[in-house]
Amino acid sequence: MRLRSAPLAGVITTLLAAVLVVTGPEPLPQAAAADGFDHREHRELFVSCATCHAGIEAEGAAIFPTAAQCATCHDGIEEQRTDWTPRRGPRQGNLAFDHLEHATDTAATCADCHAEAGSRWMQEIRGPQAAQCIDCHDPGRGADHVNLADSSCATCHVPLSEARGMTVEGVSGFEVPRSHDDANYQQATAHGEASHGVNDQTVAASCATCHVQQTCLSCHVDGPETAEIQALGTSGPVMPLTRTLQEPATHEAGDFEFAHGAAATRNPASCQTCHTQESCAACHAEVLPRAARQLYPAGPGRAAGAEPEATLPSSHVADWNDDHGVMASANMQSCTSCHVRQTCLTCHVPDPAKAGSYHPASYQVRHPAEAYSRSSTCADCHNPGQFCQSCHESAGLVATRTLIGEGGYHDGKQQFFVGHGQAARQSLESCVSCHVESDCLTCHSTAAVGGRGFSPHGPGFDAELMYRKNPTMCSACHGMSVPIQR
Amino acid sequence: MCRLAAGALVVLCVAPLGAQSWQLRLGANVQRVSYRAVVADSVLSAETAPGTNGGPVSPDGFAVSCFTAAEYCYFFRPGSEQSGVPTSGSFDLSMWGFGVPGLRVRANGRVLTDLTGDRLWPGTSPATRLLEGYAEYMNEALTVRLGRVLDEGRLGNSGLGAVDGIRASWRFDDPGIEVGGYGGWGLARGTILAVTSPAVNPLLDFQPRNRQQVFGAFAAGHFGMVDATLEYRREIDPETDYFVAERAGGSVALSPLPGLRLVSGMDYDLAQGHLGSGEATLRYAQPGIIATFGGRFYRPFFDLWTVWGAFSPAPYRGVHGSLSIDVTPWLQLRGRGEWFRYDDTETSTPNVSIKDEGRRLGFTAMTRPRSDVTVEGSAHAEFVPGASTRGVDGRVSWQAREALRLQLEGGTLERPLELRFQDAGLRWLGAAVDYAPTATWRLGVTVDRYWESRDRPDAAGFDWNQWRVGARISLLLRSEPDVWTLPPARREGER
Repeated sequence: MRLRSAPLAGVITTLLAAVLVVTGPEPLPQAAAADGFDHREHRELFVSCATCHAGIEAEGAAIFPTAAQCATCHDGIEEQRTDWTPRRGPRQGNLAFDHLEHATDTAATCADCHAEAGSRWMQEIRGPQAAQCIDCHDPGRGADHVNLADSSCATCHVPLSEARGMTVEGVSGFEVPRSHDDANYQQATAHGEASHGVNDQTVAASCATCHVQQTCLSCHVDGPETAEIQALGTSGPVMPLTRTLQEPATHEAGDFEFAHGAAATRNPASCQTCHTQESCAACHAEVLPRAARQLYPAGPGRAAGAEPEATLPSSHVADWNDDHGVMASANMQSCTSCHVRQTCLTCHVPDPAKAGSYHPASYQVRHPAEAYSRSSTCADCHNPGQFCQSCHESAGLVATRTLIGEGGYHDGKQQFFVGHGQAARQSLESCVSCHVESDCLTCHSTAAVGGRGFSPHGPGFDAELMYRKNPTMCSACHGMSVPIQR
Repeated sequence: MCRLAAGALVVLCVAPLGAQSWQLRLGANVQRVSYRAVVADSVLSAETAPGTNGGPVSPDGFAVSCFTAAEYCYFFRPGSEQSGVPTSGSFDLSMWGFGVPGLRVRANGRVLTDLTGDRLWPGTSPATRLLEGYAEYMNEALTVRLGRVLDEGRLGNSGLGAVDGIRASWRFDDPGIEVGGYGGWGLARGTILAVTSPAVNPLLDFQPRNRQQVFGAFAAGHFGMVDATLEYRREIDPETDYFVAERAGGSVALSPLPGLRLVSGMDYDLAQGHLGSGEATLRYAQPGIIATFGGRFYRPFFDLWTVWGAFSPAPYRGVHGSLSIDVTPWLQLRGRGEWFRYDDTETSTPNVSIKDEGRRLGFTAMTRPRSDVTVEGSAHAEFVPGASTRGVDGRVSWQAREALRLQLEGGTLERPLELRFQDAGLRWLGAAVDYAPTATWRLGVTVDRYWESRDRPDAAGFDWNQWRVGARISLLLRSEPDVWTLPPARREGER
């Protein structure tokens, strides 16, 4: 077999250059084998890689030989024809490698990257390994390829969005940095701070090497407003992460449902990473509070964010029905977050046809005890006339101005009538559920209006003030001779 | 009232023509109830005789009350059973999308009747009632409601009432302050009826001829850890221009530390010159435990249309506390107690001794043996001046399917009355079914059996048993574009 060194060298160089088509930080597949070119078989034909791969040393020259160059030997006569054609178009992958620069500005040889150290000429040609790059660029840390300083990434890699020919499978095969193994890495303080760029970079090159915007936007509601995320490109394969939104520890606090509004007002940015306005609307049904309005509305270009479920606040325990009034008075907005007014009206304007709601079963029998002591104010929901008196009238329990038996109904106390004052002042609301003013004014009014003149006024009675506010009330007992006038 | 109803009707008829969106909830409730009344009676003193307990009794065995030297003695004999079937229909309509962002119309009303025609059950008269009915305009700062609107503060028409007029508020986001006011014509206390309605004056006592004019103002602040509201309200009798009521109040909720919350409120009766009611409760909540401790000051409120305020109703002061502990993930224990004492009424007499302090206690254990089953048992006791109760009850709830919930309950209680000679005992068993086959429909049925005994050593002691049956149905209709749910959170792998 006769050697035709020059053309064949070009073929060999071309195929060798094919080896340099790297697509990631991992050791590349054996380009020679993939292309069907056996460097070892041709090792005695060429003394220089540039014979075939002229472009690695000469500006403007082709990296790969043409098919015609191969055919100078593989002409079908001396050697079997080949159907190999040089690759067209730009380099595939995410390496930012310039052969010409390395050939002219460094002392590196092709074999430094494409052959094992000490191996024989063209004996074992293979793709470069990251460790070999690092041995020159960051000596001694070759084993730490994915854990190098952020500034190191851009030395060899272009951002993923600028890489060509990358596939999801290829990106998924990237080695994962150790930092990502931390269970808390998903929290903002970990990966968020790591994403800040150095020098004049907006986003860390280490992020941009493996990620595009879409990766972040699978969780980040505030992606469009986050400079680091916007600094990432938009095209490119999206790494199939399996992250799920995790509840921060603050959400586990016992008073979170009360405290989150203030916290969100102070620092809305802490919420808007995971929450849209619509997240808040899951609970804040009627009016979105100020903190919620500071969040971003859901829409194209941002993640849907966390989808909270409206759950019962911890305050709404069994006795909440009795306790909620003051809280509602202090901040009705907190109630209207979840409740419409119909909820309030259900109890506060009771439906006589509805069996059971606010009060427990058997309450009709049980109600005197609570009515006497006013564990809750009956008159908040029940009109004394429309509700109490009308029912007591049907039940035969009202006095109807007769004061029948002068206290006969209260037969649990001997001579109740002559000692009823204390009970009356303690439970006047209960008294007026069966008695009207006329019953009492029989005695507790002056002779001027036909009464017996027993004064009902007790401790705390401010005659002058009440007269000033409404003198007609005084006239009900005093007629035209209200003492305060004199 | 008629003009208001007519106006609301016009709005309701016209509004749907222009509204793009609406929601209408229709409901109906019915229950069969009954009770056994007492009937006042008398007997000649000369016809009474000493009973087995020493007191006088009538010839047919009723213990009677005889006032000194009176010709007649009086007593109450059991009356006949009275039954009613109160029935209601309700609607709750909201409409928006009139072309003006933030404008909506809302109306909420009821139709009431008693199918027996007797209207024995309280609250069934009058037949029609407008709970709310207003047009509302709202933007990020301003909220204006015109019509029958609720006044929401602690001074309201006793907690929660309504005003026929206007209510407006303005929110300032920074700082978080809301100020507003309202004015119009008020309603009677604790109901949605005007004070001129015959229904609020069944015993034909004094009744105002005109509705009171109501004016109020409020300011609320929400500053991080603090929520606070101040209110002022006055009611004027338009016939005399005198005050019907004048009150001021305040409420505050404070969260000084994680898990700790102080809620407090107080009102002052400016017309009568004394504190109204107030309360303060400190609440500590952490996962698995909730504890509260607080104090309460209670004095009933009477307006100046009645003389009751001049009778110097005595306030009481009390302390209360509660504790709820999740002993295990499936067992929760709760306890609650309150003790209170009335201020001196300056009316004590050696003739009649009446307690001036009271207490109430309650304990509950709740367990979930399965995720769809809840079992709860409670014991409670109240010993207060005038009446007491104590008893135990329990219930079992089973969420048989997502749309179907079944509940069984039962209990027993004793109800001695201090001021009346009667020891009533009650036992009951009940069952309830809730069925919500779709988001549109909801149905419910309750059946209860009561056994009541009234223990008196005379003829007025009788047993009284009854069935109570109730049913309800609600239907929710709305315009399709508003059947809106949140978009699901987008996870990786779901794109």
